Amino acid sequence: MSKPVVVDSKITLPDRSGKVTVALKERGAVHVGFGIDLFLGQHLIRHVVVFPDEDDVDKYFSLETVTALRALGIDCFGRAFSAATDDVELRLSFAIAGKEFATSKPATFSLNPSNPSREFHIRCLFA
Amino acid sequence: MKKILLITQLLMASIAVAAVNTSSSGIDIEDPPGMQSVVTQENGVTHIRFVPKPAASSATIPSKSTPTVSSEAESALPTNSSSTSPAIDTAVSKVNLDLPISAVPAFMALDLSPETVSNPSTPRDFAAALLNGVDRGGVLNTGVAIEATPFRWIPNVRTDIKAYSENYWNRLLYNFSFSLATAKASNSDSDAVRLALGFSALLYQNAESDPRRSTELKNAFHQVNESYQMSGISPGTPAAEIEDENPMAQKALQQAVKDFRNRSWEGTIWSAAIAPTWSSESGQISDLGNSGFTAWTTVAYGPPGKFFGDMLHCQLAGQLRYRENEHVVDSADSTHTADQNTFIAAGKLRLGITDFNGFAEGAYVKVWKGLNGDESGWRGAFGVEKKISENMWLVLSAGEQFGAATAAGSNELFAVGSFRIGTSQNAEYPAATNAER
Repeated sequence: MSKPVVVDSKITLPDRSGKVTVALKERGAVHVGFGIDLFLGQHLIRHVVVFPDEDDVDKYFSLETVTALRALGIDCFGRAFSAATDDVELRLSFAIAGKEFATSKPATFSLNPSNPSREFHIRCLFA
Repeated sequence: MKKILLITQLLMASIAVAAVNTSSSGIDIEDPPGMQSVVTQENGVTHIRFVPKPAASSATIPSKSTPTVSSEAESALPTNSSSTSPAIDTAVSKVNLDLPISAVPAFMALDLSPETVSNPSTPRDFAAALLNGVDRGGVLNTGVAIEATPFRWIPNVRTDIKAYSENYWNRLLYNFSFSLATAKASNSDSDAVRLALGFSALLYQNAESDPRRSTELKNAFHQVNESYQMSGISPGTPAAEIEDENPMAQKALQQAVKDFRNRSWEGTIWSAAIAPTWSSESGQISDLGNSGFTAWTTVAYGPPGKFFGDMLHCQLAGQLRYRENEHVVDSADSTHTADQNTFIAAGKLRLGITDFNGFAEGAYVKVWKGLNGDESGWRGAFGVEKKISENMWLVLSAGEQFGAATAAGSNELFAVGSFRIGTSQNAEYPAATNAER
């Protein structure tokens, strides 16, 4: 039994207003199935991306405005898969009007034909 | 009569299967009567060949005391035919196509099979690995073995699955590998050091045999994600409370990879590699001088489906190999040396099932400036290979060597039994060798 890769980050929102978007960035040509949930404390607010959204890396999804996002949190969760040997780095990129203002800590792990898949959670709290 | 003798020798070699034991300390080999073992290592795979013993010769290298031999030592080994030119024999002995597509060029160029290979995955790790190759006095350290895929971690080069799938140049860069190795020269009393740089590229691979682009693997992944859904966990939940990974999903994906690898006979793959080499008599990096290079290109093609009653896979492989400035020593006269250039063109047809293959191969060898000047020769062979345990294959082959390769100009029959022991569980040329990269 193996534990999922879990990474927690604190994201400081900028002072300016605007709609915040989020994208999963990937280094390593592996298949990634993922979803993104928005939370207030322990309570699920809504699904931002419905699992299993696959291979949709580098695509920005709309979250909330800066004001509405304060005190909320998100979890980008999913599964990575490769039948080859790959080092994987996954992180979340946050942007306003297409301009990145913050990134999460990266989730890093390796895949190979003997251990071809890994589950992950990249969680961020906004402040 | 001669053929009967050789076939008998071949059978004796096969009997020696039981006499080969692997242990943590190495490989113990008991030579069958009338045969001698030649152990070489290539890219992590050990080859044990049993060849007929020649007439009494001081050039014989005891196998028990020397588990591996360098190319120079191998060239000094007597071969199956005493009338055959040593230089051409050395070249022909390497025409067994046991050169996987994933072979690491720098290690191949120095005939190394390093136990520990540094695989840096960041620029910082790469720089540190390179610095370990030279001490503060500018002296090259031996035993350095580095293999890296630099374009996977160079900033601003997209390496996600979308870019990889859509762009040929992205795939070329992603699979490009760099290797570096240093080794002490074969003369153990000197400070001489050899260094090789290697560059390897995957020039073409069809999508279905590429583990990163296979639609069957992608569909399997999608199916697993549909069947074993995941859900988000709020950021405040302690990581320790998060459930273990779903073992059913893991098992299903492992099976998908296994099924994919069982189809690894199929598809087309084309690779190329080059490895220039340098040597320094003093061991100083400032004294490095070019000592030639080795280069090769390999193509393998496996048609889809099975043949002969839906039983057998089929695969065709071809290889061109050139080695410049290879130092060889005459086994009969150690003062007689040459720096030869060798060209090899070889092809192989393989039919088989997962753990038992039959093959036929042919090769043309041309040597320039060898021990006997310029020579050329042909070789044809057929044989079988059987997987006898995990990572161990028994290979039996027989064939004929002909053309100008023999000093007497006569055709020479040969029979060779060999083992291949290593990390590869597949035939030498599966298209999915890339899966191990």
